[in-house]
Amino acid sequence: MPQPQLERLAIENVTKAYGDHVALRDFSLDVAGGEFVALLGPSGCGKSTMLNCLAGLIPLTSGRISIDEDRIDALPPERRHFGMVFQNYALFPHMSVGRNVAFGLESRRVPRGEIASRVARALRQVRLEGFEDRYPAQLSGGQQQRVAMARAIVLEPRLILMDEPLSNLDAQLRTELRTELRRLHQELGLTTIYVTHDQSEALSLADRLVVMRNGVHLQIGTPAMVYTEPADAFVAAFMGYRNVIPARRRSSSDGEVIVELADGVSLRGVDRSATTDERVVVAVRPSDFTLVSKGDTADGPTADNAIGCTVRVVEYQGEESAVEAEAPDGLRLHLRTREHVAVDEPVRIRVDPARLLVFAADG
Amino acid sequence: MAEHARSLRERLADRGIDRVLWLLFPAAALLGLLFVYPFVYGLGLSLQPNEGAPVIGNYVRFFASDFERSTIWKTLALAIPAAAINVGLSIPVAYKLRGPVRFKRLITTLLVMPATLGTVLVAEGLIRYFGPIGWFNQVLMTLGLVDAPLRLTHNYVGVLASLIITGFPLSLLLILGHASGIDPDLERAAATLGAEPRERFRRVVLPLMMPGITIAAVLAFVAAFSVFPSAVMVGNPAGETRVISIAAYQAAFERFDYPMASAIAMIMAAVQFAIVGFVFVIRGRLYRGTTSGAKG
Repeated sequence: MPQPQLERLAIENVTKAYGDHVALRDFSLDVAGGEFVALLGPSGCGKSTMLNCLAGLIPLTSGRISIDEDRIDALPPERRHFGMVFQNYALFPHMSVGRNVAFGLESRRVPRGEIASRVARALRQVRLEGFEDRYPAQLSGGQQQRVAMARAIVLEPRLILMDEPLSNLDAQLRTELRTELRRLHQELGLTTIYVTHDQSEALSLADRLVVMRNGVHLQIGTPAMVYTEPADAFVAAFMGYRNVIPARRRSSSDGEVIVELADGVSLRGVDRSATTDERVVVAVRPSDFTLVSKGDTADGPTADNAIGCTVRVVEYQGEESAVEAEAPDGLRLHLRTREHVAVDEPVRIRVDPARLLVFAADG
Repeated sequence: MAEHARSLRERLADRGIDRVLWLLFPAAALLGLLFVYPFVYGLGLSLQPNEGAPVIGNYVRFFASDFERSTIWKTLALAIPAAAINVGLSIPVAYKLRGPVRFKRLITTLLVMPATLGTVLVAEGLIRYFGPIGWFNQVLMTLGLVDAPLRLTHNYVGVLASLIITGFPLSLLLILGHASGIDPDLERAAATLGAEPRERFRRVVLPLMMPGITIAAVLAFVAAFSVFPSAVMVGNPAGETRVISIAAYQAAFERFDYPMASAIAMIMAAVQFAIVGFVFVIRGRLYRGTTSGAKG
């Protein structure tokens, strides 16, 4: 395994404002050499701004970025020696694949013979041997993406920046290239900052996740940590907690809390709110709701934490079905089940109190 | 029978021949009436010289006379520098204006204004502004940069200036329109790959601007080659700016020798065709595809 080329990338209190609009607010992050960090969030959360600040393509309003104690935030992009993969690949359309990959080496005045061998090796690493003489317009989206990767890794940069590199591909290619990216990272050990709005991409690729919203990070942690222990309702929603429901706190003791989701619908859950406010938000994954046998009728937080509902929508998805069920007071709940249910069928669903997370209400 | 007719129509439609083609009719008719017919008529006329001379007599006469033949060089001496200067000035301006620039609309409007004024107005203005007692010379003399007024009108310089003022907006618009389509991420990508600004322009932006530049150069040349009003008004139409269109005008309307005028027009066309053809041959060797790095 090659040595990572940097020891520590430090982003300290970076702010980027466009007039009154603050795209990035007091953002700090430490990245260790060889690490794969994903910046995850919806569009407009500041993740791409952060990446462009790192690349030197947009200037900071304040804050500092340094690599191994060398401050780099005032350097122009061409002096930073990072590799960047753009969302639209940004391949030079008037150059062959080989010339595209050689571009950075030529800019750095690498000897001709070495360029040829390094280009060949980079194309081999992204599995595009023999494509040197093709032009970008003759390639499929997935192949263009690989060329963009090769163009970045051929420089053996101390940091690779990727801006939603898979978002223009269809679902199957996306999964395939995701595996490729992970393989490349394992082979080359290049320190990588990866921007995405796709949680499954972030979870499967990154060593560490940074979930962002409105220019600040809400949670930083390993994929497993963020997935199982989301810091707040927003992160939970991003991590697949499709049921995010405003509720009222009825009683709490010892980290256990009873919440009322709607008139006549109360459930027991885990308190993650760090407040005693009455207004809270409840988060449950669709797969954590289970159907209970139809004979059993004890509902409520004190019995087995179940609710009686009526099935409204059933989406067949192969192994499982995604079901939308209506609880009393018009409350809509999403669940997944392997059992067969029909529209308008009355069902009872329960949730393990440990899987019902109660967060502080937003703002 | 009816079925046979329908299947014929369908087979034609498969080859792209259907009623939609009629939409081309007005344009084709116009082209035929306004371009092809006069061209062929003029060609025929040019080959019917007066006074029973041989068929190519007019052409022989033109090339035998230094006075007439030199109009080709005089016109090229104006049209080629004018096209080169217009395109040369447009490239950096278009490069700067191609992205989102503040007041872009205002700047382009101001730059394009001269094209809307018309050659005659520009020539009138030039005569006064660049004339011996015009502002330009007054300022130069007041500053002590020159002792006597510079001769800037009624000669080659005046015509060239007029061609630049009226031709530059057209070149700029064409090149800017093309350059605006260049994906800005390409230059950013080049920067992250270590290319300095100069290298980014030379290796990425300029090659992608070339198709727009060649089109602009060709049109600027063609427009300048048929220069007439400014050659008369701010030039020296009896001497150094007796361009080929003046030769044709004099043949037609001073000597009433229409066949000779037609022959001169044909020679004009041939010279333009040769230069334009030459430019397109060079262009054929350059990249002509998309200007974005994404999948098309």
